Amino acid sequence: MTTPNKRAYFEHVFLPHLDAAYNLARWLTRSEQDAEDIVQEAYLRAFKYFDGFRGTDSRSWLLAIVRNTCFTWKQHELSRELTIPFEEDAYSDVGESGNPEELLMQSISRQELKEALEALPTQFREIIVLRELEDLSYKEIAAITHLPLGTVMSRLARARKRLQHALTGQKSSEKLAEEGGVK
Amino acid sequence: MNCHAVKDLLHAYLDEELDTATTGEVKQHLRTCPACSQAYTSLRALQQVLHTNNLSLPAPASLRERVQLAVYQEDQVPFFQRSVRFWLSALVAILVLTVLIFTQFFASSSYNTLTQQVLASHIHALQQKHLVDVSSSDQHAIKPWFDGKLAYSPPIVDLAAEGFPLVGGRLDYLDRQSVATLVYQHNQHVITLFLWPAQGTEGITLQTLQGYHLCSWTRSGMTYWATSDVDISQLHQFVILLQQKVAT
Repeated sequence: MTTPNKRAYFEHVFLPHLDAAYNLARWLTRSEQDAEDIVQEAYLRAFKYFDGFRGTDSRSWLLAIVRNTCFTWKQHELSRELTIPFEEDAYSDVGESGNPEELLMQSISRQELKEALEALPTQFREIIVLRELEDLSYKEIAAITHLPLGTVMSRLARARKRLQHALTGQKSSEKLAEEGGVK
Repeated sequence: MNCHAVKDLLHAYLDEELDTATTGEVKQHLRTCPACSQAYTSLRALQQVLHTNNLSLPAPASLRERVQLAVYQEDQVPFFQRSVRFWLSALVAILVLTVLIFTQFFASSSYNTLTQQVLASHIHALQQKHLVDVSSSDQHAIKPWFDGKLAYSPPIVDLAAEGFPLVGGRLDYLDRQSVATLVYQHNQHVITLFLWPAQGTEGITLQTLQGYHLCSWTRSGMTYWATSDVDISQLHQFVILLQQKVAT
Protein backbone atom coordinates (compact mmCIF):
# COMPACT_ATOMS: atom_id res chain seq x y z
CA MET A 1 0.00 0.00 0.00
CA THR A 2 1.45 3.34 -0.98
CA THR A 3 1.09 6.12 1.46
CA PRO A 4 0.99 9.84 0.79
CA ASN A 5 4.46 9.91 2.32
CA LYS A 6 5.87 7.72 -0.43
CA ARG A 7 4.59 10.04 -3.12
CA ALA A 8 5.78 13.13 -1.30
CA TYR A 9 9.19 11.59 -0.78
CA PHE A 10 9.38 10.50 -4.40
CA GLU A 11 8.57 14.01 -5.58
CA HIS A 12 11.08 15.49 -3.19
CA VAL A 13 13.84 13.28 -4.57
CA PHE A 14 13.00 13.29 -8.27
CA LEU A 15 11.21 16.50 -9.23
CA PRO A 16 14.43 18.53 -8.95
CA HIS A 17 15.66 16.59 -11.98
CA LEU A 18 12.72 17.56 -14.16
CA ASP A 19 14.70 19.99 -16.28
CA ALA A 20 17.52 17.53 -16.81
CA ALA A 21 15.01 14.84 -17.76
CA TYR A 22 13.24 17.12 -20.21
CA ASN A 23 16.49 18.37 -21.68
CA LEU A 24 17.77 14.88 -22.37
CA ALA A 25 14.46 13.73 -23.81
CA ARG A 26 14.19 16.84 -25.97
CA TRP A 27 17.67 16.39 -27.47
CA LEU A 28 17.27 12.67 -27.99
CA THR A 29 13.92 12.88 -29.72
CA ARG A 30 14.34 16.38 -31.18
CA SER A 31 10.69 16.93 -30.48
CA GLU A 32 9.26 19.00 -27.67
CA GLN A 33 5.95 17.15 -27.66
CA ASP A 34 7.58 13.76 -27.51
CA ALA A 35 9.90 14.98 -24.79
CA GLU A 36 6.97 15.96 -22.59
CA ASP A 37 5.22 12.62 -23.07
CA ILE A 38 8.45 10.76 -22.43
CA VAL A 39 9.24 12.67 -19.26
CA GLN A 40 5.77 11.91 -17.88
CA GLU A 41 6.14 8.24 -18.75
CA ALA A 42 9.65 8.13 -17.29
CA TYR A 43 8.48 9.61 -14.01
CA LEU A 44 5.65 7.07 -13.82
CA ARG A 45 8.09 4.23 -14.31
CA ALA A 46 10.43 5.74 -11.76
CA PHE A 47 7.54 5.91 -9.30
CA LYS A 48 6.57 2.31 -9.97
CA TYR A 49 10.11 1.05 -9.47
CA PHE A 50 10.87 3.48 -6.69
CA ASP A 51 10.82 0.70 -4.09
CA GLY A 52 13.70 -0.93 -5.87
CA PHE A 53 15.84 2.20 -5.90
CA ARG A 54 18.58 1.73 -3.37
CA GLY A 55 21.25 3.99 -4.78
CA THR A 56 22.24 7.48 -3.89
CA ASP A 57 22.39 9.03 -7.36
CA SER A 58 18.75 9.72 -8.13
CA ARG A 59 19.54 11.90 -11.14
CA SER A 60 21.50 9.19 -12.96
CA TRP A 61 18.84 6.63 -12.10
CA LEU A 62 16.09 8.84 -13.48
CA LEU A 63 18.03 9.84 -16.59
CA ALA A 64 18.68 6.18 -17.39
CA ILE A 65 14.92 5.62 -17.29
CA VAL A 66 14.35 8.71 -19.46
CA ARG A 67 16.89 7.42 -21.96
CA ASN A 68 15.32 3.96 -22.07
CA THR A 69 11.87 5.48 -22.51
CA CYS A 70 13.17 7.54 -25.43
CA PHE A 71 14.53 4.50 -27.17
CA THR A 72 11.40 2.41 -26.74
CA TRP A 73 9.19 5.36 -27.67
CA LYS A 74 10.49 5.97 -31.13
CA GLN A 75 12.48 2.83 -31.70
CA HIS A 76 11.54 2.77 -35.30
CA GLU A 77 12.77 6.22 -36.12
CA LEU A 78 15.91 6.08 -34.07
CA SER A 79 17.11 2.77 -35.43
CA ARG A 80 16.75 4.09 -38.94
CA GLU A 81 19.02 6.95 -38.06
CA LEU A 82 21.77 4.87 -36.55
CA THR A 83 22.43 3.04 -39.79
CA ILE A 84 23.75 6.17 -41.55
CA PRO A 85 27.48 5.61 -42.05
CA PHE A 86 30.18 8.16 -41.48
CA GLU A 87 33.74 7.92 -42.74
CA GLU A 88 35.57 9.23 -39.76
CA ASP A 89 39.01 8.30 -40.90
CA ALA A 90 38.68 10.65 -43.83
CA TYR A 91 38.75 13.57 -41.43
CA SER A 92 42.05 14.66 -39.99
CA ASP A 93 42.26 15.86 -36.45
CA VAL A 94 41.04 19.38 -36.09
CA GLY A 95 43.62 21.64 -34.55
CA GLU A 96 46.65 20.32 -36.25
CA SER A 97 46.15 22.32 -39.37
CA GLY A 98 46.73 25.50 -37.45
CA ASN A 99 43.44 27.24 -38.26
CA PRO A 100 42.25 29.54 -35.51
CA GLU A 101 39.27 27.34 -34.68
CA GLU A 102 38.54 29.13 -31.50
CA LEU A 103 37.75 32.32 -33.35
CA LEU A 104 35.50 30.44 -35.72
CA MET A 105 33.81 28.77 -32.79
CA GLN A 106 33.00 32.02 -31.09
CA SER A 107 31.26 33.35 -34.15
CA ILE A 108 28.89 30.44 -34.36
CA SER A 109 25.29 31.32 -33.63
CA ARG A 110 23.05 29.45 -31.26
CA GLN A 111 20.90 28.33 -34.14
CA GLU A 112 23.84 26.86 -36.05
CA LEU A 113 24.97 25.08 -32.92
CA LYS A 114 21.51 23.72 -32.26
CA GLU A 115 21.21 22.43 -35.79
CA ALA A 116 24.67 20.87 -35.73
CA LEU A 117 23.87 19.09 -32.49
CA GLU A 118 20.52 17.88 -33.76
CA ALA A 119 22.20 16.60 -36.90
CA LEU A 120 24.54 14.36 -34.94
CA PRO A 121 23.67 10.66 -34.83
CA THR A 122 21.84 9.79 -31.61
CA GLN A 123 24.63 8.03 -29.79
CA PHE A 124 26.94 11.00 -30.26
CA ARG A 125 24.27 13.57 -29.57
CA GLU A 126 23.30 11.99 -26.27
CA ILE A 127 26.85 11.85 -25.03
CA ILE A 128 27.43 15.53 -25.83
CA VAL A 129 24.18 16.40 -24.04
CA LEU A 130 25.08 14.38 -20.97
CA ARG A 131 28.64 15.69 -20.77
CA GLU A 132 28.39 19.29 -21.91
CA LEU A 133 24.81 20.24 -21.17
CA GLU A 134 24.15 18.18 -18.07
CA ASP A 135 27.72 18.30 -16.75
CA LEU A 136 27.74 14.64 -15.79
CA SER A 137 30.93 12.78 -15.00
CA TYR A 138 32.18 9.91 -17.14
CA LYS A 139 31.12 7.54 -14.37
CA GLU A 140 27.59 8.93 -14.26
CA ILE A 141 27.32 8.78 -18.04
CA ALA A 142 28.47 5.17 -17.97
CA ALA A 143 25.79 4.40 -15.38
CA ILE A 144 23.03 6.07 -17.36
CA THR A 145 23.93 4.62 -20.75
CA HIS A 146 25.04 1.23 -19.45
CA LEU A 147 28.24 1.60 -21.47
CA PRO A 148 31.72 0.73 -20.28
CA LEU A 149 33.82 3.68 -19.19
CA GLY A 150 36.21 3.21 -22.10
CA THR A 151 33.35 3.35 -24.59
CA VAL A 152 32.04 6.52 -22.98
CA MET A 153 35.41 8.19 -23.43
CA SER A 154 35.99 7.09 -27.00
CA ARG A 155 32.44 7.93 -28.01
CA LEU A 156 32.77 11.39 -26.47
CA ALA A 157 36.01 12.00 -28.37
CA ARG A 158 34.39 10.97 -31.64
CA ALA A 159 31.30 13.05 -30.90
CA ARG A 160 33.36 16.15 -30.28
CA LYS A 161 35.37 15.57 -33.44
CA ARG A 162 32.19 15.27 -35.49
CA LEU A 163 30.72 18.37 -33.95
CA GLN A 164 33.89 20.33 -34.59
CA HIS A 165 33.95 19.27 -38.21
CA ALA A 166 30.28 20.07 -38.59
CA LEU A 167 30.79 23.57 -37.20
CA THR A 168 34.23 24.56 -38.45
CA GLY A 169 33.93 22.90 -41.80
CA GLN A 170 30.83 24.95 -42.43
CA LYS A 171 32.52 28.07 -41.21
CA SER A 172 35.64 27.48 -43.25
CA SER A 173 33.69 27.19 -46.47
CA GLU A 174 31.67 30.28 -45.57
CA LYS A 175 34.81 32.27 -44.90
CA LEU A 176 36.31 31.22 -48.19
CA ALA A 177 33.17 32.23 -49.99
CA GLU A 178 33.25 35.61 -48.21
CA GLU A 179 36.85 36.23 -49.11
CA GLY A 180 36.10 35.22 -52.60
CA GLY A 181 33.27 37.77 -52.69
CA VAL A 182 35.37 40.65 -51.40
CA LYS A 183 37.98 40.13 -54.02
CA MET B 1 54.84 11.89 -22.06
CA ASN B 2 54.65 11.94 -25.85
CA CYS B 3 52.09 13.52 -28.16
CA HIS B 4 50.38 10.24 -28.92
CA ALA B 5 49.67 9.56 -25.27
CA VAL B 6 48.55 13.13 -24.64
CA LYS B 7 46.18 13.03 -27.59
CA ASP B 8 44.30 10.15 -25.99
CA LEU B 9 44.13 11.92 -22.64
CA LEU B 10 43.14 15.33 -23.93
CA HIS B 11 39.40 14.87 -23.50
CA ALA B 12 39.72 13.49 -19.99
CA TYR B 13 42.09 16.34 -19.20
CA LEU B 14 39.54 18.85 -20.43
CA ASP B 15 36.76 17.20 -18.41
CA GLU B 16 38.95 17.04 -15.28
CA GLU B 17 38.65 13.29 -15.10
CA LEU B 18 42.36 12.59 -14.68
CA ASP B 19 44.18 12.03 -11.40
CA THR B 20 46.47 14.74 -10.10
CA ALA B 21 49.70 13.16 -11.30
CA THR B 22 48.53 12.58 -14.85
CA THR B 23 46.93 16.02 -15.00
CA GLY B 24 50.30 17.52 -14.14
CA GLU B 25 52.04 15.53 -16.83
CA VAL B 26 49.60 16.58 -19.51
CA LYS B 27 49.79 20.20 -18.42
CA GLN B 28 53.56 20.05 -18.62
CA HIS B 29 53.43 18.60 -22.12
CA LEU B 30 50.96 21.22 -23.33
CA ARG B 31 53.30 23.98 -22.23
CA THR B 32 56.01 22.72 -24.50
CA CYS B 33 54.09 21.24 -27.43
CA PRO B 34 52.32 23.68 -29.79
CA ALA B 35 50.49 21.01 -31.76
CA CYS B 36 48.89 19.42 -28.73
CA SER B 37 48.26 22.82 -27.23
CA GLN B 38 46.40 23.80 -30.37
CA ALA B 39 44.29 20.66 -30.26
CA TYR B 40 43.44 21.34 -26.65
CA THR B 41 42.47 24.92 -27.36
CA SER B 42 40.10 23.77 -30.11
CA LEU B 43 38.46 21.32 -27.77
CA ARG B 44 38.06 23.90 -25.08
CA ALA B 45 36.56 26.33 -27.57
CA LEU B 46 33.98 23.74 -28.54
CA GLN B 47 33.12 23.14 -24.93
CA GLN B 48 32.79 26.83 -24.23
CA VAL B 49 30.54 27.46 -27.18
CA LEU B 50 28.30 24.64 -26.02
CA HIS B 51 28.18 26.10 -22.51
CA THR B 52 27.62 29.71 -23.41
CA ASN B 53 24.78 29.18 -25.80
CA ASN B 54 22.26 28.01 -23.22
CA LEU B 55 21.39 24.91 -25.09
CA SER B 56 19.92 23.34 -22.00
CA LEU B 57 16.21 23.51 -22.46
CA PRO B 58 14.19 23.91 -19.27
CA ALA B 59 11.00 21.99 -18.88
CA PRO B 60 7.83 23.92 -19.65
CA ALA B 61 5.95 25.02 -16.53
CA SER B 62 2.97 22.79 -17.29
CA LEU B 63 5.10 19.67 -17.40
CA ARG B 64 5.81 19.73 -13.69
CA GLU B 65 2.12 19.76 -12.90
CA ARG B 66 1.47 17.12 -15.52
CA VAL B 67 4.04 14.80 -13.94
CA GLN B 68 2.70 15.42 -10.45
CA LEU B 69 -0.84 14.67 -11.58
CA ALA B 70 0.25 11.48 -13.32
CA VAL B 71 2.10 10.25 -10.26
CA TYR B 72 -0.88 11.11 -8.08
CA GLN B 73 -3.20 9.09 -10.32
CA GLU B 74 -0.78 6.19 -10.37
CA ASP B 75 -0.74 6.32 -6.62
CA GLN B 76 -4.51 5.98 -6.44
CA VAL B 77 -5.23 3.21 -8.92
CA PRO B 78 -2.70 0.65 -7.78
CA PHE B 79 -4.08 0.89 -4.27
CA PHE B 80 -7.51 -0.06 -5.52
CA GLN B 81 -6.08 -2.84 -7.66
CA ARG B 82 -4.04 -4.08 -4.79
CA SER B 83 -7.14 -3.96 -2.61
CA VAL B 84 -9.14 -6.02 -5.08
CA ARG B 85 -6.25 -8.42 -5.54
CA PHE B 86 -5.93 -8.79 -1.80
CA TRP B 87 -9.58 -9.61 -1.30
CA LEU B 88 -9.62 -11.98 -4.25
CA SER B 89 -6.70 -13.95 -2.92
CA ALA B 90 -8.22 -13.88 0.55
CA LEU B 91 -11.45 -15.28 -0.90
CA VAL B 92 -9.58 -18.04 -2.71
CA ALA B 93 -7.75 -18.90 0.49
CA ILE B 94 -11.03 -19.12 2.41
CA LEU B 95 -12.54 -21.33 -0.29
CA VAL B 96 -9.56 -23.66 -0.32
CA LEU B 97 -9.61 -23.85 3.45
CA THR B 98 -13.35 -24.65 3.43
CA VAL B 99 -12.87 -27.41 0.87
CA LEU B 100 -10.03 -28.87 2.90
CA ILE B 101 -12.06 -28.85 6.09
CA PHE B 102 -15.01 -30.52 4.39
CA THR B 103 -12.93 -33.22 2.73
CA GLN B 104 -11.24 -33.91 6.03
CA PHE B 105 -14.63 -34.14 7.69
CA PHE B 106 -15.99 -36.57 5.15
CA ALA B 107 -12.78 -38.52 5.01
CA SER B 108 -12.79 -38.94 8.74
CA SER B 109 -16.34 -40.21 8.75
CA SER B 110 -15.38 -43.14 6.57
CA TYR B 111 -11.95 -44.01 7.92
CA ASN B 112 -10.85 -42.27 11.04
CA THR B 113 -14.09 -43.03 12.78
CA LEU B 114 -13.59 -46.70 11.92
CA THR B 115 -10.26 -46.59 13.72
CA GLN B 116 -12.02 -45.01 16.66
CA GLN B 117 -14.80 -47.61 16.49
CA VAL B 118 -12.32 -50.47 16.48
CA LEU B 119 -10.47 -49.06 19.44
CA ALA B 120 -13.67 -48.26 21.29
CA SER B 121 -14.87 -51.81 20.84
CA HIS B 122 -11.59 -53.19 22.16
CA ILE B 123 -11.53 -50.92 25.21
CA HIS B 124 -15.22 -51.35 25.97
CA ALA B 125 -14.90 -55.12 26.06
CA LEU B 126 -11.98 -54.81 28.46
CA GLN B 127 -13.89 -52.38 30.67
CA GLN B 128 -16.93 -54.62 30.78
CA LYS B 129 -14.67 -57.58 31.34
CA HIS B 130 -16.70 -59.18 28.63
CA LEU B 131 -14.24 -60.11 25.99
CA VAL B 132 -15.95 -63.10 24.43
CA ASP B 133 -19.35 -64.68 23.86
CA VAL B 134 -17.81 -68.01 23.01
CA SER B 135 -14.85 -68.96 25.16
CA SER B 136 -12.38 -71.50 23.81
CA SER B 137 -8.80 -71.81 22.81
CA ASP B 138 -9.76 -74.23 20.13
CA GLN B 139 -10.49 -72.70 16.75
CA HIS B 140 -12.68 -75.64 15.83
CA ALA B 141 -14.99 -74.83 18.68
CA ILE B 142 -15.29 -71.17 17.85
CA LYS B 143 -15.87 -71.39 14.15
CA PRO B 144 -19.29 -73.12 14.26
CA TRP B 145 -20.44 -70.51 16.78
CA PHE B 146 -20.34 -67.86 14.02
CA ASP B 147 -22.58 -70.00 11.74
CA GLY B 148 -25.88 -68.33 11.24
CA LYS B 149 -24.73 -65.16 12.89
CA LEU B 150 -22.72 -63.82 9.97
CA ALA B 151 -23.01 -63.83 6.25
CA TYR B 152 -19.47 -65.15 6.01
CA SER B 153 -17.25 -67.69 7.69
CA PRO B 154 -14.26 -66.02 9.30
CA PRO B 155 -10.89 -67.75 9.02
CA ILE B 156 -9.73 -68.61 12.53
CA VAL B 157 -6.09 -69.31 13.23
CA ASP B 158 -4.38 -71.01 16.16
CA LEU B 159 -1.24 -69.23 17.30
CA ALA B 160 -0.87 -70.75 20.76
CA ALA B 161 2.49 -72.29 19.89
CA GLU B 162 3.79 -68.86 18.93
CA GLY B 163 2.67 -67.26 22.16
CA PHE B 164 -0.67 -65.92 21.06
CA PRO B 165 -3.35 -68.31 22.41
CA LEU B 166 -7.00 -67.85 21.48
CA VAL B 167 -9.34 -66.65 24.18
CA GLY B 168 -12.58 -66.79 22.24
CA GLY B 169 -14.86 -64.92 19.90
CA ARG B 170 -17.75 -62.49 19.79
CA LEU B 171 -19.73 -60.31 17.43
CA ASP B 172 -19.25 -56.60 17.01
CA TYR B 173 -20.78 -53.90 14.91
CA LEU B 174 -18.27 -51.95 12.86
CA ASP B 175 -18.46 -49.93 9.65
CA ARG B 176 -22.23 -50.42 9.56
CA GLN B 177 -22.13 -54.23 9.67
CA SER B 178 -21.81 -57.19 11.98
CA VAL B 179 -18.26 -58.42 12.15
CA ALA B 180 -16.45 -61.41 13.60
CA THR B 181 -14.25 -60.56 16.55
CA LEU B 182 -11.55 -62.91 17.80
CA VAL B 183 -9.73 -62.34 21.03
CA TYR B 184 -6.15 -63.44 21.47
CA GLN B 185 -3.85 -63.18 24.41
CA HIS B 186 -0.17 -62.42 24.65
CA ASN B 187 1.36 -62.53 28.10
CA GLN B 188 -1.05 -60.39 30.10
CA HIS B 189 -2.24 -58.40 27.13
CA VAL B 190 -5.32 -58.76 25.01
CA ILE B 191 -5.21 -58.57 21.23
CA THR B 192 -8.55 -58.10 19.54
CA LEU B 193 -8.88 -59.10 15.90
CA PHE B 194 -11.80 -57.90 13.80
CA LEU B 195 -12.39 -59.22 10.33
CA TRP B 196 -15.02 -58.84 7.68
CA PRO B 197 -15.28 -59.18 3.91
CA ALA B 198 -14.18 -56.10 2.00
CA GLN B 199 -12.21 -55.05 -1.01
CA GLY B 200 -9.32 -52.75 -0.56
CA THR B 201 -5.72 -52.05 -1.31
CA GLU B 202 -3.32 -54.61 0.00
CA GLY B 203 -0.76 -53.38 2.45
CA ILE B 204 -0.51 -52.94 6.16
CA THR B 205 -1.43 -49.71 7.92
CA LEU B 206 -0.11 -49.09 11.42
CA GLN B 207 -1.57 -46.47 13.72
CA THR B 208 -1.27 -45.51 17.32
CA LEU B 209 -4.20 -43.95 19.11
CA GLN B 210 -4.39 -43.11 22.80
CA GLY B 211 -1.48 -45.44 23.45
CA TYR B 212 -3.02 -48.42 21.67
CA HIS B 213 -1.61 -49.77 18.44
CA LEU B 214 -3.90 -50.58 15.58
CA CYS B 215 -2.93 -52.59 12.56
CA SER B 216 -5.17 -52.99 9.55
CA TRP B 217 -4.82 -54.75 6.24
CA THR B 218 -6.84 -56.25 3.44
CA ARG B 219 -6.04 -59.54 1.82
CA SER B 220 -7.97 -62.01 -0.31
CA GLY B 221 -11.21 -60.14 0.07
CA MET B 222 -11.03 -59.74 3.86
CA THR B 223 -10.25 -56.68 5.91
CA TYR B 224 -8.53 -57.28 9.23
CA TRP B 225 -8.09 -54.96 12.17
CA ALA B 226 -5.89 -55.96 15.09
CA THR B 227 -5.56 -53.78 18.15
CA SER B 228 -3.75 -54.12 21.42
CA ASP B 229 -1.64 -52.32 23.97
CA VAL B 230 1.30 -54.70 23.41
CA ASP B 231 4.53 -53.38 21.92
CA ILE B 232 4.13 -52.52 18.31
CA SER B 233 6.78 -55.05 17.36
CA GLN B 234 4.79 -57.80 19.08
CA LEU B 235 1.59 -56.76 17.38
CA HIS B 236 3.42 -56.70 14.07
CA GLN B 237 4.74 -60.20 14.75
CA PHE B 238 1.21 -61.35 15.55
CA VAL B 239 -0.03 -59.93 12.28
CA ILE B 240 2.74 -61.56 10.24
CA LEU B 241 2.11 -64.95 11.85
CA LEU B 242 -1.59 -64.60 11.29
CA GLN B 243 -1.16 -63.69 7.65
CA GLN B 244 1.09 -66.69 7.10
CA LYS B 245 -1.30 -69.09 8.73
CA VAL B 246 -4.40 -67.70 7.02
CA ALA B 247 -2.70 -68.03 3.67
CA THR B 248 -2.08 -71.73 4.16
